[in-house]
Amino acid sequence: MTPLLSLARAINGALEKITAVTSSCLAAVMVLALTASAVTRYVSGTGYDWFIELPPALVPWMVFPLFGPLLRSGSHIQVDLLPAFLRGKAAMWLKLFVYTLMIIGSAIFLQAGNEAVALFRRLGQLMELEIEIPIWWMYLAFPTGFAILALFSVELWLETLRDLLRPDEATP
Amino acid sequence: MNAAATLLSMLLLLLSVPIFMVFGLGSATVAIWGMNLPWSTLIQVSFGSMTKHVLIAVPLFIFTGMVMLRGGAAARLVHFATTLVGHWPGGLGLSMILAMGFFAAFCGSILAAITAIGTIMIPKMVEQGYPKPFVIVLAASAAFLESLIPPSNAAILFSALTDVPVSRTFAAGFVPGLVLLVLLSIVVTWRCRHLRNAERAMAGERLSAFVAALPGLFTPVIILGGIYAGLLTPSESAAVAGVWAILIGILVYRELTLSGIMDALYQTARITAVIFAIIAMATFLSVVLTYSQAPQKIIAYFTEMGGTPLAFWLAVAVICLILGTFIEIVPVFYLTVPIFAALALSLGLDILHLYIVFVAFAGIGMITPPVCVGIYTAAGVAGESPEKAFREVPLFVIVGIIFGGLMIVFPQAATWLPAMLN
Repeated sequence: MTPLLSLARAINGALEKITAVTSSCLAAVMVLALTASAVTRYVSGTGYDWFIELPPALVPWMVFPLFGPLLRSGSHIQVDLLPAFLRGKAAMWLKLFVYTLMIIGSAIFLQAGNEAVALFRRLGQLMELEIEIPIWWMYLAFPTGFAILALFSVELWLETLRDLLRPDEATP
Repeated sequence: MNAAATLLSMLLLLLSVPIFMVFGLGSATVAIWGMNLPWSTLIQVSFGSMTKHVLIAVPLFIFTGMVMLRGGAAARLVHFATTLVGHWPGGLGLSMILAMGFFAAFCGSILAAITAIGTIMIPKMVEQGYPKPFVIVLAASAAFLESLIPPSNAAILFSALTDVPVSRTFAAGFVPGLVLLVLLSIVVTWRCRHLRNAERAMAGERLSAFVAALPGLFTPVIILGGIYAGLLTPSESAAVAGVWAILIGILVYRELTLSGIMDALYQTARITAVIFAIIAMATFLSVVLTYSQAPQKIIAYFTEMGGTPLAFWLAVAVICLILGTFIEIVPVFYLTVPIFAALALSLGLDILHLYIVFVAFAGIGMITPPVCVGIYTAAGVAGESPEKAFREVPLFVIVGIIFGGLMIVFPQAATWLPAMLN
């Protein structure tokens, strides 16, 4: 199991860095685009639609790829009632269940996202931007995000299973 | 199918599965296997709600707050607030409330406010003898001003859900924000009357603190002035405020570094992803509600039962209190606002009144265990166990309920300013 876990950690470590850089850059583009929108409208009197319409189209690429790193850091919003009462192995079993469910859920949404992207690609719709971008590019963020989430869930699942199989360290 | 999915969702929530996944799986179970809707419909609607232009303001206001924290503006605001009211009984507590109010006028994120103001004020207050648990709960409660004083992320979410213009929801929160500020100040003055700074700030010191804080204090002028003068959209005003925060952090305060900006961008993206994960998946739920005509059925049931406005407000208060105790405010928005809004409109109530009452009661959940992210964050800043702070919670819950009650009784608090600005 250790080689598998090491592999998952290596892949996810790289993914975490990539998503951090990507999401930060997208946030920066949003700030700059909307500022430019206001400035150009003030200067030219009309402005450019492109500056206004681009930021919403970037949101999915900023949000979905971060699902995995957020799961690892425990940042997703959840009801933390049960973990407060559980200790030792019981808490680990609960974590194992949650990560199992995250893997299943990610797989379902990955498949669903792929179907949706394929459909939008076939339809050939374009975004309503001055620069015409295929709409499926935006929708691709959905399966990409859930693929990353699945990878992080697998890593956390393996880690929890390893801890469960080590009885001495598992019990406090 | 609906009952099974609801039960499954409740179970998964209790088992501490992330809420976005609970929303996604629970709603998809009903939509895909119960209603035979295609995935593409769900995903299309989900993207439609995520990419609403008004919601872009959420990350941008968070970014402004993050940059203000790293660029030194937050520290100047705290210092200015302290020179104003620091010598009064419970002066540092009042300073924290006032500084939170200032910070609320350009940020909108509760967690960013607790981190920004709490990091500076909590150690100061503890050093001067304020009980740590009290300080933690006060910080979490005062940060709730972020949800009321414009620009607030709560107002943006409410607007996105109800299609009420953001300029109106922003305006609706202003007077209630001041009322809450006064209520919290009364509590601090009464509770900490024996604690005060030895020295009153001289006029010169106040003036220099004001001048130092001025660039930060000017930010709300850019945001609200830009919106209400019709020069900027809410998201543009948020972006311009972010650039302004960068400029003053670099050129005026000289504390903002490139790594500070990068960190602010990354933290913004992370917080946004947490919020938007719920928005994306909760939209699946709204599709289910729409197709099952649940709001219409609830309205019909409520009318048949002879439901009155008072019964409606009581229901809003109780449901928000209960949900807010166990779930954070963002999911509560997406779970309840579509139904509450439909009911409020059928009863002829003002939607802005609903917004304030809803936020008042759901916001109490920020400080009620077990899910009280405000207290956890403030306790983290204070380096204290959150459980020790829980004994101070009842006092602030009572204040919250009084505030919510006042908002129910006086709808003018929410509706007067938007009507004036119209």
